[in-house]
Parts: sequence; structure tokens; C-alpha cells
Amino acid sequence: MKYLESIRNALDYLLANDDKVYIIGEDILDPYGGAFKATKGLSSKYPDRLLSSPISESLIVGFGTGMAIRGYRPIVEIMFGDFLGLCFDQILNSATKFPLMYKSKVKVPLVIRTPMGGGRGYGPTHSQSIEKHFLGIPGLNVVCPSIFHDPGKLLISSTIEDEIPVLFIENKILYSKDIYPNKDQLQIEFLGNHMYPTAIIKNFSTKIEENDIIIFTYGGISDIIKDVMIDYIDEEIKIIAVCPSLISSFDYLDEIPNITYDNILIIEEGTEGFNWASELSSKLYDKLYNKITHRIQKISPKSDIIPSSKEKEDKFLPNIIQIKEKIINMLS
Amino acid sequence: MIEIIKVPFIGVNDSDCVLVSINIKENTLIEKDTLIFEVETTKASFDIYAPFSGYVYLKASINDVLKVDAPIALISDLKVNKDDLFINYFSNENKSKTELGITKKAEILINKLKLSSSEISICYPNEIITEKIVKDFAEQKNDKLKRLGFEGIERVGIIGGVSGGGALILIDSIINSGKQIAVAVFDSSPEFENKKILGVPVVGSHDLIEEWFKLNRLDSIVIAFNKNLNEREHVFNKFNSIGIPFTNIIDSKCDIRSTVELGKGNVILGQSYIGPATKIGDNNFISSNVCLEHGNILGSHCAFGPGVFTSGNVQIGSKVRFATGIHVEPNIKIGDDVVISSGTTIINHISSGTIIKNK
Repeated sequence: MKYLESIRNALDYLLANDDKVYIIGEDILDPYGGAFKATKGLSSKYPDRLLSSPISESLIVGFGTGMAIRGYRPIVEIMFGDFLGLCFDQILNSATKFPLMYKSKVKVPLVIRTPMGGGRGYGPTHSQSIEKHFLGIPGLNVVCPSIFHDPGKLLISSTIEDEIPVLFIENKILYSKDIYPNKDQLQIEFLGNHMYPTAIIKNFSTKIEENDIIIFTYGGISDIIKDVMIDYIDEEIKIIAVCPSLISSFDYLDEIPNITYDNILIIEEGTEGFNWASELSSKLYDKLYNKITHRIQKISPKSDIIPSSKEKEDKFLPNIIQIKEKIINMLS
Repeated sequence: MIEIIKVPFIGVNDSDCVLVSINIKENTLIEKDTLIFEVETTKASFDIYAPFSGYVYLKASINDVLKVDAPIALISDLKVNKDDLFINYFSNENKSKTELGITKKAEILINKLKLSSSEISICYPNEIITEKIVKDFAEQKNDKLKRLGFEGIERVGIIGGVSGGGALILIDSIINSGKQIAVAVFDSSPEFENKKILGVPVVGSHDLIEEWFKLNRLDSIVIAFNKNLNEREHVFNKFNSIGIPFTNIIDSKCDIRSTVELGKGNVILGQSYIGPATKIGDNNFISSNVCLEHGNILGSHCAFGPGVFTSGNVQIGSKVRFATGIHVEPNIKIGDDVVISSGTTIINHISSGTIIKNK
């Protein structure tokens, strides 16, 4: 099943099974069905439950917050993640603060869905991965399904199980990709939080301790890592990939089996500095201070704008050539 | 070992460049890091250096326009037939090395063990060279060399200690034990360069060590100076952090008892006694006639003059200097960065940073 299809099916399921679920966003109604077609067909099926909003991202999140407080389970769509800057105050000072300030008296089960990431040549203001600016906001779960996760299942968890606001990030490149089936060339195990499991992927069949390198990543980069891992099966390079779905928490680190941590690589699509990779690196040093034998390495784009030229964008963002070279350098 | 020399990444503004200079002769031995090619883009020129010592075989020519990652030449650690080599590498340009007969893991191991892929390929014709094949080959090669007596003796580099005599006593101890061989002394004093200590040449500063190790000219190192323990620690950490192995020098006239645990980079000279169940850290210099009795725990980067005697279950921290003729009573704890002068008898615990003067 395609990643986008899973999301659309989940929205359909939610609308069908919970009359408190509403979807709000720009251009989400049929026949257009949303900028990335995530809601295609749904407004025809549930005409009263999809609400088309004006071009006001702040309003979209504020309106959703209000609905959530009043007992609904709104899913709001922000057309491009780059536009989240316009919603920042609503998220920081309203949606996430109310449950913390008013404890059990107020709940805000709001889901903010948004596509992020580059790779389509959409230019500097439509290609960013800016989740790092939302990590660490108290009371906000930031979810980003990888190619190994079923994004629809995660969306259902976020909507009907999670009681706090969720920023649900969908990587644009993954929309057209098939969710990676378990038990294909790579072995996948899911650990941790049942709402937001972490995928542990191996490209070898021997003991997990025999890995050459561990790669931590999430979201769109997972698709590149999948290809690297498959390519490197015949090259005997044993890779473990750790792909969390809930990137605002590092609790999964305690659940990872006892493995060798000689070489650790963290890859993130967002720009370098003050990001998920830095925080994870710090947590790993805390956890493994007397076990790490080599410096933790990171790949993130430099702190600059994403080029409009597709060729230059491909070189700017983490790519398969760069990642393979880094792995070989680390092992050499 | 064979590697394709390719056009490197030349910036986001250019996808191709011109080969403007070839600075070497084909099929002539060149050293690692020799400047071999220059390529030019619209805005800048880029230098390309030899990744290891070997023989270069040209694929591109002057003024060729080349894309990023395009091959310019091959470099081989052994002299080879260019035509055979090119058939093997360039008629299969788009194939992975696995398709060419060697896995990337095997290649990495070959480079780490400083083996020759061409030599291995000869021994395993028509097989994909895997990690296991490389390991088996390395083991067989080592066994063969040892049986012929060509290898098996550890080659040790000595750091410093020329002016203080540390290098002399270390080399003397190595000669007497016969299990290791001192191959060089690394000391930056220009007055000592090219001189020999018991036949071992002083070759220059310890900055040379990394290159010597890469060229497989030594197997391990040990620090001979101990006048400045902070400097001793610094030098140890410097080389340890980049993976240069340290070795222990233990005189053949030492008495090391049961279940002693020893770190690395330690020096223990003649007539010294290390009692059972004693633990010793790294990079300690223990002179002759030192006794560390049973159950002692010693940290790292310490220095002992001759005639230091500790009783049982003494704990000593790191960077502690013992002068000569010192006695330590049982169960005493000595902290870090302590200095104890000659002729002292220690009967109380000593906290870190203390200087004990003999009245």
C-alpha cells in the first residue's frame, strides 16, 4: 500500500467510526481533494465533516484548538510544513498550554497534519523540514512516520488515542512510495510505545550484536536508508537502522536490545544545528558514555536555504551517495 | 590494493571540470599524498593527491572534460599490467565491486590490514572476495610469516626520554627480554637526531609516529619520558585517541604474580615485583626495584623512582610521582596528582593534589 493511500484510508476510517472527527484545511474538498490529495474523495462521502478554511494557517490551528476543547477530535491540515511558522503561537501558547495550565479540566486532542521535506524542486519555502523548531515544546507530540511504519495506523493513534496535541509530519517524497513490507530483504521489529512504535531494521540475519554500524533517522530519509541497506547486503556491511515514529521523545533508547555501538550515524533532513540529531547525540553520549568507541557522526544539510534547482537540491539534501561514502569512511 | 582516482565534488556550481595538469609519470612509484592531478572548473582549481603509495595508471588525458566522479586514473600498490587492470576495472565501470568480485566490507578490511587485493584475488580465483576470505588469508599469511621467522616480533617505537635516560633503560630492557624490538626513538630535540641509542636510531619528533604506523614500520609505542606527568598523559591520550596501539615493556627480570591486571603503555623495569591481584592502569613508569604488593590498585600516568615499596591493598590514583626510597603502609589511599619526595614513609591517607616533603 502507498504511504498516502494509508493516510487517506485512515482518515476515511476515522470519519466513519467517530462522529467527533472533523477535518479542516485549505482546498481539501473534492474534486481537488487537497494539495497532495490526502483528502480526495472524503468530502463527497462525508460532506459535513470536511471544512474548507480561508488561507489563514493561524485560524486553522486556532479553530481546531477550539473544537478540540469542545470535545471534538479535529484533524487540521497545514498545506506545507513551511507554513507552520504562521501557526507557531497557536501551537506554543494555546493548543499545548491549555492542557498543562488547566490540567484535567481541559483536553486538546488536536492533530495537525502537514507535509514536509524536499526532493521535488519546490524551492526554499516549500521544501523545508522544520520540525526541529517544534521539538521540545512541552505538551506536544511530534510524530513522523517512516517508510517502515504504517502512517495510517499512527494517524489513527494520534487522533483517537492521544489526548494531547500532535504535530503529524508526512514526508512528501514518501507519499508515492510503498510502505516497506516486513520480512522482505530487511528484517523489521517494532519496539516500545504501542501508539508510536520505533522500527528497528536489520539487513543481516546473524546476531544483532554483529552490526557494523547503527543508523538513527526518521521520516523521508528512511527511504534512502532502506535502499542503502538493501544495496549493502551483498557488500557484507551489516546495518541496523533505528527509525522512531515519535521524534519528540527518546524513551525508545531504553528499549533497544543490547547491541554494539562502535559506529553510530545520525541522519536528519532538517538543517544542521540545534536539531533532533544534536539532541539524540547528547542522549546517546549520556547513555553510552563508557561504551562508545568512536565519535558519533551526523549528516544534516548545512544551515542554508534549499536550492530551487533540482540538481542542486539533490546534492544539498542528504542523498544516497553521500550516505554510502560516510558509512564506508566510518568503517575504514 | 587498487583504487580508482575520481574527480571529487567540485562545488554546487559545476558538474564538470577540465584536467589541466598531470604531475607524475605513469607506472612510477609515488609516495602517498603526492600531488598527482589538477582539475579546473569555471571558478577554481582543485588538487588531487595520491591516497596511498603506489603506481598510477592514467585513464584520462590533459584537457579532457570530466564529470564529478569520473575516473581519472587507477593507483595500485603493486606494479601491474595496465591493459589487464583496465579490462578488469573499466569495462565494468557501472558495476558494484561485488559484481567485480570483492565486497566493500572485504575492501575495507584489506585496507585496514594493509593487504593486497590483487594478491588475494590470485589465491582465490573465480570467487567473490568476502570478509571471511580476507580474514582467512590474513591468518594464513601471518602463520606463514611466523613459521619462517619473518614476523611475530613486536616493533616498538619509543617516545622521548633521551635526555633523561628513559629511552636508554627502556631499550635495554627490550633487548634483554627479546620479545620485542625497539625500532625507533621519537624525540624532537635536534641535537639527538640521527644518533643511536643501543643501535636504535633517533628519527625525529613523535609527529612522525602516525605516518610510521600507516607505512607499517612499527606495531606499537611506549612513552619513555616521565619528568612531566601531565605531558605524559597528554601524549598518551593523543595517540590513544587516534588508534595507535600502546604496548607494555616488562623487563624479563620482573616478577609479575597471579591475577595481575595490566593496562597498556606501562613500563616495569628489572627486579620489580607486582603482587597478586594488583590492578595497574595505563601509561605508568615503574623503575627498577619497585614493589607493589598484593591487592594494590594503581591508576594511570604515574611515575615511580627506584626503591618504592607499597604494602598490601594500597590504592594509588593517577599522575602520582614517587621519588626514590619510599615506603607505604598497608591499606593506604593516595589520591591523584600527588608528589612524594624521597625517603618518605607513608602512614596516613593522602588526598589529591598533595605534595609530601620529607622533613
